[in-house]
Amino acid sequence: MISWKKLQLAGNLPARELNTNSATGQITILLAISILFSFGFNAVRSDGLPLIASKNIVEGGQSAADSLLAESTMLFQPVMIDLSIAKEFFDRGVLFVDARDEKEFREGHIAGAKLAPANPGEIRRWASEDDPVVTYCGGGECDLSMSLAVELMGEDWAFSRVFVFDGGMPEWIGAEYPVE
Amino acid sequence: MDRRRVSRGVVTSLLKNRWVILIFRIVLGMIFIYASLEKIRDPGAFAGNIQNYQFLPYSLTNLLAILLPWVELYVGACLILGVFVDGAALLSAGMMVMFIVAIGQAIGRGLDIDCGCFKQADSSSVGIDTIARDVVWLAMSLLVWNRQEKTLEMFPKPRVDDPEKQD
Repeated sequence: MISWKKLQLAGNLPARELNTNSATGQITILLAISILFSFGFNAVRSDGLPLIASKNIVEGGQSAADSLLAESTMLFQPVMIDLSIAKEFFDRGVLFVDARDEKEFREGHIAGAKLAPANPGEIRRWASEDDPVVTYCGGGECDLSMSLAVELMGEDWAFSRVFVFDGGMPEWIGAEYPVE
Repeated sequence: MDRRRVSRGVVTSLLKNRWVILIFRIVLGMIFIYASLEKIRDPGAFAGNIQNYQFLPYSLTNLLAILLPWVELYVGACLILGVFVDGAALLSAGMMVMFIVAIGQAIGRGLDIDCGCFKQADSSSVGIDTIARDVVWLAMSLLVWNRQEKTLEMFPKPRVDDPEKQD
């Protein structure tokens, strides 16, 4: 039988038994168990997260756009795309949603893009939840597009394929792609 | 003056009452377990919530999204079952401090983001009320940690002597 008192964490508390009566000992054990089970479960579950969240911006233009738009592509969270893929999507008539505020939208937005409605569910007016949707905002540190994308893919609206054009408006203008 | 002192005395003794502390433990425990389940079910959405706070370096957000719900789950279970109550109460207080700081900086920077505290569906955005809620739970955690009597605790069994001294 495993005795708590004999439990030692290699490297953490060398040559000293964990004292289960002290708060620090208890915290160490609780955190150790949490780390073990959380990362263990994450490793075996099918929708586990990558340990390091990289701003996984998918690149690669046409071929990447093809596979992202394939019906069989299943997304668990929004996928960030680069300028080349955004342009491919644009050329194929994918719905673009501008997550910035109305004033910025009026000053200029990607041609054909819709201003994000206050209630994200209203995006259903332009696309069904199985249609791909691209969100964007002011680029750089702006995270409105990601917030909107996360919301759209959440349980409430259940969009299945939402993409975030990470470069946003600045990159689009820089490339001199159509705006209005 | 006298009456005020008396009523303060009543409140103080109530906050130290072993059964009140037990209720705090159970309430905190249920809150943590409830909060953890949805996050464990959908870690991707929780990672998105964390990223919205723009509080951690982006690359570390998944690590927290994976780990935090399980810490919440175990802390909640420990508080209810009466296992490692000291450690669980301190961890609970530490998490509350972390939540308060994270929400506070989000409000300070004018971020209108989803709290991410409980279910996605409640979609309550962060505000003074979420901070106030966490402050109350922080106080409850500290009262549990600072309890004078141990009530219905399974492990470690309450001892009268100095716990640091035994091997």
